[in-house]
Amino acid sequence: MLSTSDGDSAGPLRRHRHRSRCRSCTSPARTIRRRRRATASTLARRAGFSSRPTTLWPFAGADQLPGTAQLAGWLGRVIVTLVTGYTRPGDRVLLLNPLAPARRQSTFRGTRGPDPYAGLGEAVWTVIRLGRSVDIATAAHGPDYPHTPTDASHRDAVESASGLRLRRPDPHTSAGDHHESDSRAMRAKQRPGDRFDLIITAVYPHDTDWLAHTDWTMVLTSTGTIAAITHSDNSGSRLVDPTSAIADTFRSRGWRWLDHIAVLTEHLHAPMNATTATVPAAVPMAAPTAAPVAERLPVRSVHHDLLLFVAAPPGDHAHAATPGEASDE
Amino acid sequence: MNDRPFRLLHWPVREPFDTVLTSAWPTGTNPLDTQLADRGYHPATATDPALMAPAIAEYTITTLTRRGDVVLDPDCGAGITVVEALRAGRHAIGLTARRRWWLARANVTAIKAQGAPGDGMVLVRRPSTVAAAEMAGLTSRVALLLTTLRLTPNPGTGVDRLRTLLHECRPLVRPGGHVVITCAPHRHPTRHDLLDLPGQILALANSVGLAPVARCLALTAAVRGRRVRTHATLAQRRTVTRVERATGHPIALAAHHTVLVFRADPDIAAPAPLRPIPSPPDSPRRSGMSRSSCAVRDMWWPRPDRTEIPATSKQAA
Repeated sequence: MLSTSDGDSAGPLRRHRHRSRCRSCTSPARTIRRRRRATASTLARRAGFSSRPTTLWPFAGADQLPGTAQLAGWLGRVIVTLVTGYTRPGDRVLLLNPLAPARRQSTFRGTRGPDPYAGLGEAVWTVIRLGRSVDIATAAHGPDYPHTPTDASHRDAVESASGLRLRRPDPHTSAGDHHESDSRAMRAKQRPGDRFDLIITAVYPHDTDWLAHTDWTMVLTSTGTIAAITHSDNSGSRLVDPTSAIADTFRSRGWRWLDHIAVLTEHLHAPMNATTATVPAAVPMAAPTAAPVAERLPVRSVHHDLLLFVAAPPGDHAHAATPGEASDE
Repeated sequence: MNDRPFRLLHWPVREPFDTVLTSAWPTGTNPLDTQLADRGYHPATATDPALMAPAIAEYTITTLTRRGDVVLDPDCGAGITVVEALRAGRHAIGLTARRRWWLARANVTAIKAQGAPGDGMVLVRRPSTVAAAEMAGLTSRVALLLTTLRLTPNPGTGVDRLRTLLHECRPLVRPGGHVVITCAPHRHPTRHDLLDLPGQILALANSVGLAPVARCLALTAAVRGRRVRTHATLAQRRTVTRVERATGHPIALAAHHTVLVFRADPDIAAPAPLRPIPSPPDSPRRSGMSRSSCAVRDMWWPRPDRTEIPATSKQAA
């Protein structure tokens, strides 16, 4: 029997000890409930209830990261979630700025500005504060891009910004022609620490060619992850969806599609509550004249697509498609 | 014939609450089993492996159609599309080739017993079914074709079957009508990577003359501010854990289905029918005829109407 030396101050203590004694009593109902809770919690831990990401990231209205000006709040949250969820402290992260497309037609309304992926490189300090090393790079255009800059100033600017310049594999390089690409491969082998564990980039819906002309194996580790943020766009009355093109491009080069995550950038409208819905007072027997069939249904975009790709195991030769199957929009 | 007094539906008929199609649909507020139980579905409905959530069907129908429109599901399964269309005051037709089509019939009977207006039917799909529908005047009458991709152990078989269904039922969709196909995320059974089934659906829809309008997400999880509450079962979570161990990378719990919205012949405006399909009546007729038979009569055999007199004849008179 517990005893207290102080009367008044021991009131709560006495009640706490009394509750403790009650917890320790072995009534059958309480014992059964305790066992069930323990079983449920064990199963929950084994099944991963505690920290399981979902394919829906609701980042609508997120605040901008400190120290950023152009980077959208939702995009900053995406970067933080990717870094904390798919890397460990000490890993290397690459923020790959996509090149601004030559034409960008967007019919979206809302808060989406002219460039939703502007300021991707501004998240450098945020990634550093998370304990990862980070680098910035800019993607290179494909060979068919009409405005490929050839002046040295642009090349120097890219190299000085990141120290790493992605270059497409030379299509004219044969087995006996060892020049720059082979030397880069050798450098990559000699300095495996230059590769990254996570590459975060963005892809505009009308410009996906540069993905096929980038040698990802030279900049990503064997266990690394590529995170590509993109969105669908309506050009006129047709849909331009780059998701399949991006997936086909990476799969044709031996990458596996790990996940497709939806990032909400605007709040959703809740569906009308059934109890508040009212039937129109006067419902005609015959249907009213239908709207013209040529009327286009407006579409409001409230999300972006985050596509995650990882390298296939070395022995999975059947996974990589033939080069002819790659298709870009 | 039907002396049962008209009872207000448990869910009142609602008009489209959003004339703008958003790219993410808030259809995951309640888990699937709760949706089925609250809406009076047969308990065996949950056994349908490719079940479309009733909330997704309801959102699609109420957003893309109006009262009196015809909704078609060429592979209705348990009849979710038909039931939700009836609940929303539309006419609905479901086709199925499955031996358990009694389940769809049971669900349709239940919603009709609740007093849902409109005409709904579930037909067994035969090679001559579509031809019979064309003869009955259904050509270019369907405002919405809504179905889901049903996969078999071989994913290619499911896509091929969907291609066949779209080829057969394409003439029934009216110019400017919508075709909506939902697709749950699927992974390769051994490689565990995501399958690009939406991409295959886009390709086959393009081959039948459908123009893609939007690629949307039908949420299967509830969103409350910055928190997401999934309704994944224990089996689904264990599957994700197993895939995670096999791949060595974090795998996210599925919280959305892909919804592909297409439009049929958007640049071709078909001539308006002489008499539009009447909207379902709100009260039973007093002539002694059942509501369903009256709706069938008005739908399939429109009565001659004085309003059909051409304007030129009126002016001459």
